[in-house]
Amino acid sequence: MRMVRTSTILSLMLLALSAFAGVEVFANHPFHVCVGQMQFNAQTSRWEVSLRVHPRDLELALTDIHRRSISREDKDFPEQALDYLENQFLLMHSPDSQDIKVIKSRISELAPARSLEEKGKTIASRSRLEWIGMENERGWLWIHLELIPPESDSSKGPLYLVHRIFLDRIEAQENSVAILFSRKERGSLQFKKGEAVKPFVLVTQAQQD
Amino acid sequence: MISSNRIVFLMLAVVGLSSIAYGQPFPNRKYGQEDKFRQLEEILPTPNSYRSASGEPGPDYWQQRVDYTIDVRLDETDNSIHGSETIRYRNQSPHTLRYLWVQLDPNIFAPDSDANRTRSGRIGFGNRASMAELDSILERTQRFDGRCMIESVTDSLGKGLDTFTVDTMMRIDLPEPLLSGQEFSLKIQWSYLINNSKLIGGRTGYEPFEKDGNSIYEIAQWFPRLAAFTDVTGWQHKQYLGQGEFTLEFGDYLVRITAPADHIVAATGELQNPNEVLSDLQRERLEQARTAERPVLIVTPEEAKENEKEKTDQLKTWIFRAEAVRDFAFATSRKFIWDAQGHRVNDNFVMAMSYYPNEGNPLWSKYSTHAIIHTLNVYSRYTFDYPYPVAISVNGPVGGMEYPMICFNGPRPKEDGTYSASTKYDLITVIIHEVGHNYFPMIVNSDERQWSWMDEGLNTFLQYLAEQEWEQDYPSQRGEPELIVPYMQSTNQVPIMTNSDSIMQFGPNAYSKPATALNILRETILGRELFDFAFKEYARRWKFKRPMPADFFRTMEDATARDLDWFWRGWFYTTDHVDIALDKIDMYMVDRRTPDEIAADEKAKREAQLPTLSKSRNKELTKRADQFPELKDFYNEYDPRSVTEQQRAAYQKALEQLSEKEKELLANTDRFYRLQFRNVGGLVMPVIVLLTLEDGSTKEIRLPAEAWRVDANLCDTLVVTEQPIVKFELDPYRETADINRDNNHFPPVIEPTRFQLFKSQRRGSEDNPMAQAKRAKEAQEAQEKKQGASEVKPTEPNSPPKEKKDKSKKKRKQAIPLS
Repeated sequence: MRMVRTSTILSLMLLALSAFAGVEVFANHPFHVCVGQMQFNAQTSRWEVSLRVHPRDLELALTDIHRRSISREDKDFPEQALDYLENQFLLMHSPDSQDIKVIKSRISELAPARSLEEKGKTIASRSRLEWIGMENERGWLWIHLELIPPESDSSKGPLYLVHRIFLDRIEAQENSVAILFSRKERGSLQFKKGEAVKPFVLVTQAQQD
Repeated sequence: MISSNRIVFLMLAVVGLSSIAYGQPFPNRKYGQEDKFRQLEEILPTPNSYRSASGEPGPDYWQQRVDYTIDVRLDETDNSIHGSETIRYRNQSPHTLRYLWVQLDPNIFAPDSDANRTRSGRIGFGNRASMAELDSILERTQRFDGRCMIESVTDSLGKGLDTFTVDTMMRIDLPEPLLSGQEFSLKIQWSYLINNSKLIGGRTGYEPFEKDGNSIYEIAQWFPRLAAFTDVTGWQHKQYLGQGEFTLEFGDYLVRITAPADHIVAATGELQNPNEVLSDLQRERLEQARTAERPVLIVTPEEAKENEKEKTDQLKTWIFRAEAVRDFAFATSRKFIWDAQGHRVNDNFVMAMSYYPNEGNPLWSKYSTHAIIHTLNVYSRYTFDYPYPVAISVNGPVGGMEYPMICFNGPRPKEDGTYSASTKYDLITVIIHEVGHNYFPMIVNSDERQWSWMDEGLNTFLQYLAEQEWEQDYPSQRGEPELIVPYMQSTNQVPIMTNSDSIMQFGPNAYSKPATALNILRETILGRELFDFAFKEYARRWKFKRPMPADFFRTMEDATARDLDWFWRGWFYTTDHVDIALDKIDMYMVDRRTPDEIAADEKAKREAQLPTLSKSRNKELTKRADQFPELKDFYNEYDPRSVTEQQRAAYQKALEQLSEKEKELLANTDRFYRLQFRNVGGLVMPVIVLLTLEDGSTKEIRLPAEAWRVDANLCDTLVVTEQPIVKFELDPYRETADINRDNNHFPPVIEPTRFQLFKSQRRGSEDNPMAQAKRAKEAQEAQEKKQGASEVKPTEPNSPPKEKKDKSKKKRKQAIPLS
């Protein structure tokens, strides 16, 4: 096993400063699970996505990122939540590489709905989200979104679903999403720390990255 | 019984879904499926004299007893604990012991603990990590060492005892073997640093408040505790890895807690020296609280606020005594407001008390003590009377954790004092849950380090019942079968019967799924009366004892006369889910038609059918037989489908031979529906179907799960109705957690996704009208101040966000990629 050098740790990019930081700070409940479902709407060519989160987890995530108290009653909560979710839940098209490390690094470099080109060829492109609304269900928060697939031609390479909501914050976080490719084709993908990117195909045995 | 020759009178009319079977020559169609009803006795431990086959403690049941006298001091200057304890261990087992094992749970905070070393090494995402993650990693692995520093371990005479520590367990070698029935006393001195819960969370810690410089301390799993020694596990010394909680022995505790003199201390047990630590006014208020009908403030919000302002160097020692408990925890702070109300649970008097800072108000003073009393009332009804003298809820850094008589609960309102509905219900819910843990596992002493579901699942089930008695339509998050569906759809699952530390999706697995299963068992399978009797019997049998899963499974069968092995097997030992499909419907009626009527119907049916394409085109062809009529003979005119005189005579004869009863049967106009169900998800369950008849009335049929006992993949039933059935719906009350309802209907209905439902209804947020009203009021006041009265609309949290700016460029500037 190759040891991680100190210099490597120091070179980690610091995405968010936090006055409240701490992975286990969020162990206020044992339900570190984000469940959801997504279904393709052929008329709009968009994925209709519903994600169920524990509202306090989302509020704390946004509070940490913005270094001010954010709650779901705030006027700008949908905007802040969308901004966060867009980087946590996305489809990635990667025509030239199936290396998860490469894909991960491209996700961080790419803004939503943008493409990455190399020598005139699109080598990666990202989806973007549109906010539809949110609703309470017995203390859970359901967030409804439309996911606009990456613009590049997905027939030329695999799509990857990234679902890393809270994975960097809560060690025990596990996410799952039921995917309705069609009425007969249903699947379920699971995500946890280190396994935040999955090939977006109908699978029975989820692949690990 | 209709005789076989009458079968011909039945007309088969398939009105539903049909499947076609393609045969192969000599296919192997032997049984070839899993027996969902296979008995569990080959999996469960063999009953013995300690644990009976009926699920109750056996005639030779035993458990150890451990009593403690503890002196502990909280040092606020460096946030440390310093303790000294005397342990009296009574060996009530039939075995001789040569050593004892002691739990040192603070060792989990050592950088090199098993818990830390077995954490995943995955960091960040791609080549990036957040500062929060980095900070937490460094705190846990480099900066903080909260391990238990053992200063001495001696016998009662002060003679040192040999010890050996294995991560969170310390073996103490006894100078002489401890025989069955003997007692041994030992003393331990120790100290450790308390974790800052804002950096390293957990079940214990301190919460610093920067604005006033004070902290709330919630101290748990803090003293060297004798591990359980049982007839099932021997020593229960599985290491503390964080997820699996603990089990201990029952005993009596005398604990002297020394803390800054301006602190208020809450703890397991009854306060023994109120005259020394409380003011006259506080004691007077406590006395009033004993008979009050509403919570009485012992320390008011104003007094707590005043108390926060200055610190004292003086110390006070609070003395608590607790009997028949399996652990001891406490909380202390100068920030605490304290309220109390006396309550009687049948013959037992209980002081329900809450401790919280001003930051917890207005929620805590309104709800906490009420929630405690409500929990005691409801849980006692379903189990046994709460036996302890106090029941306490404390607000501090721990989100939710239980200990005997005391629990820690996290939710607070926003800084402006408003709160959303979900914060309110989060608080009531967590208090019910944590106070409820007094019953499971603090009194029914199941082994949390081995089986999380035995306390979390059973407690969450009762929590649901208590919530539903709090107010109409209480928004319970767990208990209703339809709420478990998203989890049951997921693939990353382990069975409920999985060791606590190996569970994936911990909350849904250990809390929601068993709670839902028990709710289904109560509502759909056994019925409330039968279930409640059995559940109460389980609680009665194992109160102050140590049950194992088999004891629960066996008791629930023993007290209900129901073979539930299929239920335990499916819900607890597998990851199957419920997906039962309405596979096929056939409709039959008695056929009273004469042979001529049948032939006419057949002919009409044939003629109604369009000719094939070739046949219609061939019609115009010149036919040789038409050109040469001599080619035609008898068979050109003969219609094999026409009714012969012999057939008419036979029919008439058969009618004449019918008895009066048979004639009545023939006159029957009922419809006979054969419904076939397919088990897609694997979990066998009762089959519930709602039938809608032609006149709009409904009829419900409920098949017990035993309908699947011979074939777990397909089962069927026959329904007889006078009217035609126009609609069939499977599981109409959503009581089985069926994960796919698209196959539950005839005529077919595609149920909308949650997204489609939301979009079609465009529901607004139900959140925090309190904050909206406050904002509206403030805005209105501001407007009025500016320009006189004007109308102000409340904010709309569901309104779509504005066009976003691309922030990625800014973020990219900060990027330092991994080398």
